[in-house]
Amino acid sequence: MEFGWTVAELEFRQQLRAFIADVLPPEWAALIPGEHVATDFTRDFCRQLGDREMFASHWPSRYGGSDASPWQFIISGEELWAAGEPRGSQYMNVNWIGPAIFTSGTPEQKDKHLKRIASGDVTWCQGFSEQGAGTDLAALSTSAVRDGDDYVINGEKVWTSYAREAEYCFLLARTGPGSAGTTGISIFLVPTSTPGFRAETIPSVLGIHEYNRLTFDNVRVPESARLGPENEGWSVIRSALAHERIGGPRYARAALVAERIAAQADASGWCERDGFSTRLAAARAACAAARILVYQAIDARAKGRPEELAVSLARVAIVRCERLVAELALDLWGEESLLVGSVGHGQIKTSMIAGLGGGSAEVQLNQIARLRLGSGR
Amino acid sequence: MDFDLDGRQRDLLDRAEQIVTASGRERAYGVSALNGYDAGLDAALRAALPTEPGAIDLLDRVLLAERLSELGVATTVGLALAVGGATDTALPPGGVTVVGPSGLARFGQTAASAVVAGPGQIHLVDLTGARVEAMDSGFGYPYARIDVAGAVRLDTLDAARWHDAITLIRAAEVAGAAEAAVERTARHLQTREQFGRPLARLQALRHRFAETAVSAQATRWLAREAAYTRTPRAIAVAAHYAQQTAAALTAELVQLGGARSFAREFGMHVHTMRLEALRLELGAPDRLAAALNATSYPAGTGNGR
Repeated sequence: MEFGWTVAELEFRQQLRAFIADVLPPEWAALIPGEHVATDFTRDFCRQLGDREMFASHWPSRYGGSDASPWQFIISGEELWAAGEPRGSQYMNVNWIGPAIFTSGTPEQKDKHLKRIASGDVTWCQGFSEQGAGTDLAALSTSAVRDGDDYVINGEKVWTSYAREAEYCFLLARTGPGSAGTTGISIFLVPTSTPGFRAETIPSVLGIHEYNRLTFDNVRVPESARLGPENEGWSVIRSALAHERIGGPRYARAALVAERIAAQADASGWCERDGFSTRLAAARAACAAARILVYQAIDARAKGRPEELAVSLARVAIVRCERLVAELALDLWGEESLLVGSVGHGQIKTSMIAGLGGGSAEVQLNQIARLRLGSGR
Repeated sequence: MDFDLDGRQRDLLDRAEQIVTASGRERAYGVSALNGYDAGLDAALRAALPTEPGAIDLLDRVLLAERLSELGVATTVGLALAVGGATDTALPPGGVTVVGPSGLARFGQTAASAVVAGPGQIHLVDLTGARVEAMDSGFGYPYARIDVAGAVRLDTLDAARWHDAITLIRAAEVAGAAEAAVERTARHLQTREQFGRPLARLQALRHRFAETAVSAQATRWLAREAAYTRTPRAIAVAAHYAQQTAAALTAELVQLGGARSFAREFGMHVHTMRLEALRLELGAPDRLAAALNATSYPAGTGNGR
């Protein structure tokens, strides 16, 4: 047991940190991750990361990575998320869309998608939630019906981030006629330029990126757009979601905000305010707890072991730390937190997402309980 | 990073567990349940485990302390692991204890030596000439009040080294007790039926239980990591988080365990009451918070930009 970094990992972090400092405009330090989804800057930033083999370094080299350890995945996540996530929506591509394709894709799908993803050159969104299928994702009803060599997709997805900028949608649809629950679900890699696909904004209070409603109106895709076996998409998505749940190291940004709060407190005398010290310490400790539990999950992943429990523990800890830091920021800055661009505003918005984005925190509590107490049925 | 025990660590923990098993786990637990001191088991553990200074590193000490706490045994070895990690001088024979600010000492009535904080200095003293009075406490360990006026000084400890060692041993003991309490609660929820079904089927309880599991795991890994890195920030975080976990889990797990939690025959109190004792030994939350906030992030590490 040891908790140190290898020389290669330390060098990777330093190189990435230096690159970020070199190319990232100072205003990014105040941005909320996801605030800039797919601008010319984020695209160029991702391409530059790709050119330096720092975008998907932990991927296998045959898919555009560098065969680096999974630890580089979390190192890059920590550095980039804390810097406002200059990859924009493309962090998803590296975290779980690419791995899902190289795990379950056909040679043609791998050839078509992975090199573009690894070079930072393509944007995706995920078509998961529906009005009747959010936390209970397996209740989805969007259908994909075979018609010759094609599938015809009909249905509606909601609360989808990044959709208006996405070139592809990673879509879950029901292909088993009369199926229910986790059976009869398939995955499709759908170009958003396909006729019948429409994305419209759902107004939200988050203010950091658009939420969208996706409509699939007789969207016709070839069989080659299906990822993995027909009706067996659930196992693929379970693995993908495990990556997604800890893919955005929110604790790294929350920890950075906590340090900003501490610095501001030193400058403004907040340290004398009742309860400040204990709340700051609790926030800092919570960030550290989230980090070490994520590391536990990455350790399991690196060794090819089941990571489900570790991922769920980590995810709950991440939500806790985001909320503690947000509450502290709001309370300390007071009315200033009402303003867009303020630390309090940014942190409360990210903390509101923390317990829902990538799957609700309650699902993680269910998972922990299932693994420690049994199914509960 | 490697979260697996190495061969030496596994051997150490196996050895501790074998000794406890050989002594009778239910019997040993029963001694703890009555707030007792397990003299035979304590002697066996002290003889078999390398608590001496220099024998093992701080992470090994933390792992052992955590495991012994998880097993719920009544031994002074946890404290010996702390003292052995803070001095280069051989410990005297017999158990060792730590005298707190008010003179209270865990297993104080059976200890041969003690660590005492004096004005600006930390001393290891021989308790032969000290006045030791057993006290009545219901917090999972036997406590004594010790007046060290007549004790003979054996060694002066480096204050920083002592602070790190005793803090992390206590955090590890919290982690062990927390995990044991969580596991005992799991068994209770799975087997206790109310409203015609096991409590473990009630989602309200499942979620609360899961939250305790998160805290217990994080406490464990933060203490282990801090013992490895030994940075002031990591140690302060481990202590603060352990204190919070101990405070939160006692109330929550007692609630999940229902009235059984109070019954000595159920045994939950061995862990929950020890959690309370350990959090008091760790120190008040405001002081732990101030200590944490006085540290800075080590450069070049995760979420420590």
